[in-house]
Amino acid sequence: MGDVRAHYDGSASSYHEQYDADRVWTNAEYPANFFRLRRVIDLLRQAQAVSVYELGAGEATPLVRIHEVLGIGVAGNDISPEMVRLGRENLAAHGLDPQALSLLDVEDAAAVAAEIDLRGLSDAVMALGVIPHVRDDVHFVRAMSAFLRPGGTLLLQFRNSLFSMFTFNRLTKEFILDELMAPVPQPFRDAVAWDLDARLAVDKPPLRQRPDGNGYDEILSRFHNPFELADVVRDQGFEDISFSWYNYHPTYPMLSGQFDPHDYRAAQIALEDDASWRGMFLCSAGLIRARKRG
Amino acid sequence: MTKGFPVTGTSTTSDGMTRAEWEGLSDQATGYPANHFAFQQVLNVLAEEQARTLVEIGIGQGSAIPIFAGAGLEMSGLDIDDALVAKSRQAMADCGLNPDTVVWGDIRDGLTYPSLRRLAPFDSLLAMGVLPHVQHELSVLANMRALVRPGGLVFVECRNSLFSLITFNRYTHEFFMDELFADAPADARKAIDAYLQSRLAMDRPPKRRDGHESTFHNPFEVPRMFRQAGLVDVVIRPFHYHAAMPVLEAELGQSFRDGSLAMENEPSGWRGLFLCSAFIVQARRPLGDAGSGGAGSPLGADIVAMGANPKESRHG
Repeated sequence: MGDVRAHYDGSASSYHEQYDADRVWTNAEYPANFFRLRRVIDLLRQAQAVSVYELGAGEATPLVRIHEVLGIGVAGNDISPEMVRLGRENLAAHGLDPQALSLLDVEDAAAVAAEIDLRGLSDAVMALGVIPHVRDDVHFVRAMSAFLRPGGTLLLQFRNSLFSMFTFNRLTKEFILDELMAPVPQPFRDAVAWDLDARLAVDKPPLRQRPDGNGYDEILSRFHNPFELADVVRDQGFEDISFSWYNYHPTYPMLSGQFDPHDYRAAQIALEDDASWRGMFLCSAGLIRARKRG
Repeated sequence: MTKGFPVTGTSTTSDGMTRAEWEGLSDQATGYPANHFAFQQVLNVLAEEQARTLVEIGIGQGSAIPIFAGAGLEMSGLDIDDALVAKSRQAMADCGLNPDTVVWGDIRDGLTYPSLRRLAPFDSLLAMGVLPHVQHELSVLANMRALVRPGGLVFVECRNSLFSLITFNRYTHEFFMDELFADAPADARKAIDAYLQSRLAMDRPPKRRDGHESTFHNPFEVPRMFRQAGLVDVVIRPFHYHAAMPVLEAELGQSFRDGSLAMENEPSGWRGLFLCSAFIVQARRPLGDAGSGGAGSPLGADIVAMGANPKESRHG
């Protein structure tokens, strides 16, 4: 298993590019996080938050953008030293306190407690692209909650396992066998596995690897089932739970190569405003919004 | 009012379900007892609601009469088929109940069942296998709603379109093309169609000889329809689990039946949305509702897609 810290150290120098509006059509990878940030800003605006704390703030472009658009107080942390170094530069360059970004591991309970003592409670807490990399969901949501005042808003991003229901690849097979049919006896699962091998492109998608062994698919990068993650959030004292979907796919990802790249991206972007149930299956990521009871 | 257990009469099923019937649930010689698991859920809700009367739309041969009458509910029924009305009346008589409360009529036309209206309003309404076969669903739901009292409940069976995500047959193709990618660009739909045609068992299940295809419903969309019909407090109750894709049923034989039975009532709260071929929509006519078909209150299942608490709206 690769190292999460090293993965993000290696990504830090170019991480800001995915939030750049001028690169939406030119980034090699679909700029899903650009649309995620747009959605997050809308949700924070709706929550009327005047402060937000971000776990896994990276190089702080989202915090900077949130401050620019909403004028609210921002602070956060990250596990990657390089992200924190660049993030502090980013904050300072935009007239914000560079010390608003701390270097810490959200799985380190003592470090989280010290950070809460330092920052105090916020109106909103968010974690974008973090829970895929943590081992204990309950512990992590509890840590998020600790940064939040009663009645405050939680925004929790996750990789959507239900997206696998339509990708027709090995992720579909894994979801059906390991999640959907988890309680079914092994002989049924064996029969289904045999059938799925004939129907699905089980050799896809290719693994995202790096020479140093710290590629995204080589580090801990879990999917989450939105129903089950919502239960975790609820059990940690949250209510009014809702979902928001992003990173839409107009076809199975493996078919994307059949289309003009510009046309394909245009179809993806057009779908980002869809508010129907389809996002639960067509989106590879989602956000949970919830309100802390109090 | 029926007296409950034991119902007077000579029917061997007047106590609800006989032990022999219960022991035969796993008998492959009979069809899968899907309704058994739907009725388990409905009966519990009716008990909690202290319902006294139940009308079944599409009562058929009256198979449910011993179950619900045996539990103490005063049963009435409606069916469009004269022969089935006669069978249900006999079932009522066999249970020592008044057969005249089962009448001929068409739920699509509220003028066809005046005698049933005279027995209304009912505490509850059950409609198994009705909604998949009607064209104007809102009108039918409005007619159902008009038969229950304010605060009363309806239980309406739907065929689950999300089940198509795991069947890998022509229903999967229909779900992808007609629901998930309904609004996709034409060239994308063409590519998806070609891909699916090569991967799915497009000849399964065999098409009916009469050409009639019943309608599937999406559990994320039906709450909106029920709300439009003036019903609230929508709960989705999946039933009829499948331990594997239906295409494997013949190969797996008895173990498929046993595995599926074992899955019924599993507690995840979400697997039933995909492993079940049917679900009951439970909904309430609002208290204090004068019958004008109000908009109703915001509903959980509706919001699952838009984004809200899925637990409020589904029961697996």
